[in-house]
Amino acid sequence: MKNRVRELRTTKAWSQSDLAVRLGVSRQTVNAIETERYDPSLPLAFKVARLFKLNIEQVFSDGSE
Amino acid sequence: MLDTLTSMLYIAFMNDRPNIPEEIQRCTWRSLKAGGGWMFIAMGTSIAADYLLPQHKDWPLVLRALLVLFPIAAALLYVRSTARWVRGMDELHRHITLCAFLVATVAYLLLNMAWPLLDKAGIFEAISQSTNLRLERLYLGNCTLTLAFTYAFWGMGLRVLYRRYQ
Repeated sequence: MKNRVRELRTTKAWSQSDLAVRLGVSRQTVNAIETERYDPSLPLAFKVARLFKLNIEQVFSDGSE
Repeated sequence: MLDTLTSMLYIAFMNDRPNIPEEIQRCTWRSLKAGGGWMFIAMGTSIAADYLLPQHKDWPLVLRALLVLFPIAAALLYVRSTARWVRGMDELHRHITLCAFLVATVAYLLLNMAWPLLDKAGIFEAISQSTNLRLERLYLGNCTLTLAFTYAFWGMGLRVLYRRYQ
């Protein structure tokens, strides 16, 4: 699954640790999501989208388009 | 090496507070103290029972049963502390840890199945002739060995899986 988490995070000038604290996960989890090694659960994906005030489709895509 | 050991020991810690996944990787007093958890109590009491029971066949049945059941009770408490520990993780670490447990369970079952076959094939006899190791005498169903092997396999699985998600 493709995502724009790194791009969105850098626009806010947050470090991975900052984002991890805001999401209530570890920094390693943020890194694994950004590098697309790990697909987050639906609740976490919603949390990410809400944090950036976007729809979930604007942050995550299945890479088919 | 010490960090690997402490991250492995961490799981045995008797607590119910949410853990901080990144703290697992560090060698702290708290993580070292984790070594005194239920798993080690289970292993220690199992070794004691293995040693005492054959030598004291005259002991009352209740006492003998208690000696055998105590390590099992400690192992159950170890499972409970592990479940609490896993529940306190964030989703990636929970995923990694549960995958590592699956690896450990499958590896232990395979070892358990392979052990008598290796014995029948004469592998252990060949080993004992060249070294002094009497592997055929090892009983894998023993509480201490079960915990030790699954723990070792779990640690190996964890190291591999952590590397995969780094």
